[in-house]
Amino acid sequence: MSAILEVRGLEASYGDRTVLRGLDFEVAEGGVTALLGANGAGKTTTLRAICGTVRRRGEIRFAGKRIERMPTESIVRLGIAQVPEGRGTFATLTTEENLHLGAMTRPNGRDISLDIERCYSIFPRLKERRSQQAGTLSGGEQQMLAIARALMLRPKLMLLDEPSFGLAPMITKHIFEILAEVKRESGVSMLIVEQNASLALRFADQAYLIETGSIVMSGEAKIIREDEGVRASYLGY
Amino acid sequence: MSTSEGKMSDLGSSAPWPAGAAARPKVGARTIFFGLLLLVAVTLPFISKNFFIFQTTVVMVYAIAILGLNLLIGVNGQFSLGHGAFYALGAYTAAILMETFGLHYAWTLPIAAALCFVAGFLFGLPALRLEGVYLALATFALAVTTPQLLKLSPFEGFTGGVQGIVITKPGAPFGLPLNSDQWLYFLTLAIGLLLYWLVHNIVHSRTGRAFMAIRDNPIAASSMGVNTSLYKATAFGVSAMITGVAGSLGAIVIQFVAPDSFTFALSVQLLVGLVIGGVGWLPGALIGAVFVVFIPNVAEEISKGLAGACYGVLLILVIYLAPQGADGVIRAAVDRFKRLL
Amino acid sequence: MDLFIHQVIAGFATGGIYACMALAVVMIYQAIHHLNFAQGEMAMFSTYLGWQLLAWGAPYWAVFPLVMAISFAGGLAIERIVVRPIENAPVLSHVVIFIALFAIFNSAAGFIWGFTIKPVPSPFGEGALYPGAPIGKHQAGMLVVTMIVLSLLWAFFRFTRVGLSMRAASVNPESARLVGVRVSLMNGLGWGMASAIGALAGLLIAPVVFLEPNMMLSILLYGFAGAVLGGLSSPLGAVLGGFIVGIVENLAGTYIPVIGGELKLSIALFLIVAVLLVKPAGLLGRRTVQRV
Repeated sequence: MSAILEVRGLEASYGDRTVLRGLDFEVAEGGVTALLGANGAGKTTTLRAICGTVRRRGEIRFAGKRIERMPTESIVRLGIAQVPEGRGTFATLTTEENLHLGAMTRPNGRDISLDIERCYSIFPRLKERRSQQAGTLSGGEQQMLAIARALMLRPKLMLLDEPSFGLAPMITKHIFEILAEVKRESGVSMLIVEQNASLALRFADQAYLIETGSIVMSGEAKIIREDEGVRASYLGY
Repeated sequence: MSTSEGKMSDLGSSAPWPAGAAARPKVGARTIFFGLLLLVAVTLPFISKNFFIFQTTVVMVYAIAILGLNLLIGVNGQFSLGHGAFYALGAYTAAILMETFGLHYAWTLPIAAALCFVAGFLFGLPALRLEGVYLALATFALAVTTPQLLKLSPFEGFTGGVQGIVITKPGAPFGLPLNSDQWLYFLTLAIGLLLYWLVHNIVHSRTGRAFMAIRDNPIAASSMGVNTSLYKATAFGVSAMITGVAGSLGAIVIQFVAPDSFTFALSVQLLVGLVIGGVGWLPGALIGAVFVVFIPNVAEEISKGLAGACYGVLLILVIYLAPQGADGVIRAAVDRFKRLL
Repeated sequence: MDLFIHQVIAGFATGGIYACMALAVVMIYQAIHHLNFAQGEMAMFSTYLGWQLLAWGAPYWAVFPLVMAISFAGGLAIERIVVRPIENAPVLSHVVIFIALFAIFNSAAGFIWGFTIKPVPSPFGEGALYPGAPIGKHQAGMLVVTMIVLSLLWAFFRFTRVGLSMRAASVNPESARLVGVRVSLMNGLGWGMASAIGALAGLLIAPVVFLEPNMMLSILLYGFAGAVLGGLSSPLGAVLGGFIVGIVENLAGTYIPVIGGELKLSIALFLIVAVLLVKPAGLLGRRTVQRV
């Protein structure tokens, strides 16, 4: 498998505070890569750096193309959809308008409404709430909306920032089942950031462990899951 | 409006007030600097012409008014576009008491201060429910109404209507060897220093910390037991009081009050002075006052017909170069200086 | 009673102008979350451009779209040149920039065209709409044009992709960037559209108030008041607020005799503040709850 995303020596900083100190990782075409780590390790910053919403240095290749100097809007146009931290809901817009926004970079056409219907079939709850203000949706529904909005781009790569954040275990489980289904159906590659390491390691093929802005361990997800150290500090059993 | 609230607290954090903690080690340099400044201030009236003394006095009057505004906006995070109204209240109080009731000018200042405190406090109470742009609109309404109220015919007996009131210039007391320009200069300087000391102490007191807590996070402040309403209204009152005293002094110095001196433009000038000096930085008031008094003259020098446009361009340039006002520039300069050492 | 109805209708007609202005205010507010004090002066300048074109003999109905197009470009340019470079400066610095723009436009208009008032002809003709009608031809025409523009705008925001992108950029700029919306372009568009709408309001009201460099100040105030009254988060609220302000202003001027014309503005403003005390986010505005 070739890599759809290759990152070499990625550094990022907020003001004069360095958050990432030279990360190397990749996401395989059609694969799922997980970034694990504690709070403040730099996981969210990594996703921001890929999308260019934070100042970054290093080399980022997407489908062979260098993107580290591109503005966010152009990166999105290449087919990278982010499900951002805090879900990025357009609170005063309706659910359906939120979905339309996901496809904003695609040419206007009938297939957009077809895709919206497809999202509704994946997430029937969203259909019930289609003309409701998105800000009034529950946390789980907003997470579904964020995923659906990302799917509307027909992305080649999805960046997921803590899809389980603040959700009840049942809903988290449901969302991960849907992500697995989406991956099976559309073959989209995913880079997922999670604090819930056991969940992420079951879902991912590859995993990287970040501590204070550096990668301390990498490998196949199932091997990492067996690692004693990881087990003790991240999985808690 | 959460956005405007957010913006208001940005405004606070962008001008991190408590410079005291960081700057403590170089208190020596600071004291020397302010000592020198004071020395210059004291000798100035003896070496310059009367008109320049008068202008400098006006600068100090504006500085006091801006100081009052700074306490409200910079320290407490409440926005006011209407401080010209309190300035006008102070000015008219002094003028009416002196000319209609024949009161000695020295007595008008405490009376104006008390009156403006009450007015500010009372205005602050309903304003509690308003935030950000809504408070801006309410204070704006106040600024717009002020000259119109002053012109109202029922009050003409006191206010002199559109003509306003002419005030006799007081001379120096106790047979001091000063002309009246020099005397008013020292009076303004003394009152200015007193009020500066007062505001400085408020800011570093419990009350000041409560003001800043409300600015930075009103919800957290009230959940920590800060009586938000009382503090906000008090901040409004004290701020109005200081600006009102400036108004009284201004009336005495300029010897004239009229409704058209207290239009919305006055409130705008105070606000410009505040921003140019640095929001939340008390000494900035003086720099801001110098700007609003002298730069319009500079603009007029550049082009008579386009003076307003020149002023606007100068303002924009200043904001480009110093988006945080003089405060930011001085901070950056001090940092660079330290790094050189 | 007749007087009352007459005043309400007359208030409705001026309210249309305030509605236009309020809408322009809300559009810029949505884009940048500040009130633009220079909006009225920008509109005044546009109106002078229109007057100049008319004086050169251009036909009225060509002047209208042309001035709006020029104003659009001008608004966009101001956003790019003046506002963009200080994007990250504190709010109050933005306010000072607006004050500066105010001074520049006011002084430039006075310099170029002088401070004497200039009559502007009405495209709808003089006199009453029909004999004995409570409003004149111009007022009626003004109302119709305002309504058309407002519905077009509503449709633009509701049904077009650009309109949706602009709303998204204003609600959640960061998230908008992540779906590929060019947020800074949208802000520029917001400025452009707002100044075009301001130009329209200026051209429509000039025949009523006469053209002079300070003509827009009080209109802008009413516009602000309308926008805040209706709720700054709601374009529809702004329009409604504009109409209410127009009516309240007229009724206050008629029925509160001591105060009369001079204090009309103050009365209107104070009524609005009173409403805000009861409904702090405006009539149709939404108050977003802030988490700690």
